[in-house]
Amino acid sequence: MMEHKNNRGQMEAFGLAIIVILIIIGFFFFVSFKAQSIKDAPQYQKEYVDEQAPQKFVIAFTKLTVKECDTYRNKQDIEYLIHDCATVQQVKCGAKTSCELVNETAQYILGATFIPQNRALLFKIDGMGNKSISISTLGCIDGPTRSKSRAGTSFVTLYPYPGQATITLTFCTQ
Amino acid sequence: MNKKNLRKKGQLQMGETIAIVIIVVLIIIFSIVFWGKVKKGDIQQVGSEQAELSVVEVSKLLNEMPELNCYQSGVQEVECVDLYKILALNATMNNDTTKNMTFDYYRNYFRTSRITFKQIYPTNISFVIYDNNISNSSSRQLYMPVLIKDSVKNTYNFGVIIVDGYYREIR
Repeated sequence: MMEHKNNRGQMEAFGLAIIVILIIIGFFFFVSFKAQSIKDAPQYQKEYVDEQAPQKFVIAFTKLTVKECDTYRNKQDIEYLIHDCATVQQVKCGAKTSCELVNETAQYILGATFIPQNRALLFKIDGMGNKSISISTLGCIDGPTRSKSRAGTSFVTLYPYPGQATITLTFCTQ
Repeated sequence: MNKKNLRKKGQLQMGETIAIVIIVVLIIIFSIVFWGKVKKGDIQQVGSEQAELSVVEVSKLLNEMPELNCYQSGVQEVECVDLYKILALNATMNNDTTKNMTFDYYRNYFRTSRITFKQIYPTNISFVIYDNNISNSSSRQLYMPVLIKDSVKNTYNFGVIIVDGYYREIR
């Protein structure tokens, strides 16, 4: 009789242990699913900015009127200066050449916009021979190490000379 | 003796039942509190997502407003806002006679946000064209480059549109 009671007690304890284990497992699954869903939550604003800002920057930069050349003929924009820098290099505004002006303006604008926000970026103007420009921050460099990057590109034709200059701004997301 | 034993056994079983009821009640209370916290987190997340979407929507809307865009021979210029249109809107928003009407009209589009056009190059100037800052709110900021056209000087300046979206957080 005593042994029978002991067996019953053991079974009850065993059942209780199983219930506790099941509750703990359920809780663990719930918490891990919840954590995953928080981690995977969409970041609409970041996605939108990363996708749109580089292209908008490049378009605005290309059309920009350079203040030093405000009186130079009718064409005083970056597009014209890139064309000149990549071809004949005749334009001078004050004491500065077209290549210097493009470089300085790019440095100034990036320094007033995305660089203070600690963005990993790579700004490049290719197709200007040895005068090509490259500005990079926070280790955002060209090559296979770059991951999940978003870029905006604009082209400047060098007509009547052959080729084109390519302006690219890339945001790196490490 | 037998009666005493039976009473003791009954008391023991009653104690057992009370203990189980207390444990079950505690588990239920704990579950309700936990579920409430989880739901609150979900609602906060949805609120935050809505705020993000709202800021993005306002930013997209700004690119498509004829009262701000640049035109050359009737053709819209890409990623460009007219400096004089910004100045005009800023003046209308700050004029005592037109302020309320203009604010009511743009509230349908910009809701609880603050829109600033900041010219960065060649000079630093800022214009707030709309401000509906609600009290006790958090904000989300969106920053987008834009070309600002000075139609009088016929020059293009570099600027940014800053959209601050305000929203109330659930505490």
